[in-house]
Amino acid sequence: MGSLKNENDQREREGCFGVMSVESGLEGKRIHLLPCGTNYTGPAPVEDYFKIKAAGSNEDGIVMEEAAFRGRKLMGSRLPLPEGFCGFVLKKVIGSNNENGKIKVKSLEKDGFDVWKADAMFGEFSYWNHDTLPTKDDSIRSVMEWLPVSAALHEEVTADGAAVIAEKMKLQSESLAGSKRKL
Amino acid sequence: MVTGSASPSWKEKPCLLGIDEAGRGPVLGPMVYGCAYCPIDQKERISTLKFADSKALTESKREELYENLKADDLMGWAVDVIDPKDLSAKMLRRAKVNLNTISFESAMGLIRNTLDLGVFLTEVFVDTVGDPGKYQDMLTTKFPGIRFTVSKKADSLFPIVSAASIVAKVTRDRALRDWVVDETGREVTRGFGSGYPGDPETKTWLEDHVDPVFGFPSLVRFSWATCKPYLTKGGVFVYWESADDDEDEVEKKHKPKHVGEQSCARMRHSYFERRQLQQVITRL
Repeated sequence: MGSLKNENDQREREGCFGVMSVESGLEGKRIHLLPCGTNYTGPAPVEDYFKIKAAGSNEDGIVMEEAAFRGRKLMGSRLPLPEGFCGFVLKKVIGSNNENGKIKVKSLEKDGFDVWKADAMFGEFSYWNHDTLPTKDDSIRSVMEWLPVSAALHEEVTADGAAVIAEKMKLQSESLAGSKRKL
Repeated sequence: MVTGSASPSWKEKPCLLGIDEAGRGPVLGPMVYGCAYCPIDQKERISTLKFADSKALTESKREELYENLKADDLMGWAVDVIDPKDLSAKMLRRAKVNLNTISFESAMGLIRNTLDLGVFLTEVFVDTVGDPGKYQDMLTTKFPGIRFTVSKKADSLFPIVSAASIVAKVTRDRALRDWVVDETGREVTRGFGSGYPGDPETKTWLEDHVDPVFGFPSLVRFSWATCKPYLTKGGVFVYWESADDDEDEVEKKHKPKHVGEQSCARMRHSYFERRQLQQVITRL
């Protein structure tokens, strides 16, 4: 168990707090992000109660939907994840290494590290606003913009790649200077 | 949504109109505003038609009078059916709309609808909601040229308001009888009683129809104080993004502490702040 503790410390130093476990053949689910919270975690009869109606589109060209939760009227819109991304619904289980190095899921293991087990996956989700129409300025939309930016920032840069980028930037600044001159 | 009789042939004669409501108090079903109108020269005849306060009549008598009224060539009518879903939504908006305002708007909508049909309205009788004087002043300001009589118990004082009360009551009863339940997955029984919060049958029905997460079927007016104990007892705790100033102690206790707090990471770039993005720096 001592080695597991060390391994955990090592992981935490690296900024890793657990392991994600994704099995194949996960069911695709329709996901809703509601403007409310609850201290309940568990199943709910979503299809039976959360009846969604089409509600046209707004001036931003966003296709809207209408639903209600606990008497509140919600206006929502579907948001696809950026290309190359996939969403997972994760459930935390405590895991520990077993002898052959494979992850074994155990619960309530004292020295175990977190294993986030994927329950379902999604390629888009619906977000819902209380009362207000969904607009292009909704913060959740701009969160999605961060994903490709983040991916680009963390992409590994090779020497060749860097040369290409440098060349591009050079061309850009030249054309910028050119357009300035014209002005 | 307002529905009613077509533009009448006698619309250019001076007319009187009565307005009354049904289902303002119950915790479930639609609230219905109804109006009835006729030429002033029919006033005497209307008073012989035995319209009385709808609550003082049996259901079959109301049905009969309602059908007679609809068949009467010298009477017009209209109803505004406000779904429980709309009532809840308006009353639970971030900027809450109270029931009196919804009532005023509905009554004014009925008057406007009748004027739009080209009916020459000179007198309007309304059963009051709140203070009669204030209500009368407001209506007079909105519709100059019409003489308003706003009073308590108008439905038993003025036959035209009695007629309106029958239109409203029958429409509400039928709406409840023919109610199509939106929700699926479990049976929603019809034994909800009168819908009045004090009715034991209504109480039992509410208790039996709580879903822990979703609360009630959309037949129920979530905005009614009656609902709260059932949701607290039989439902999970739900808190909303919009800050609620009328939160009670129980709710405050249940609300997780981190809700409403700023991101724990200070001095984040405004790009991340705007997006409410933060790094997860603690073990969840």
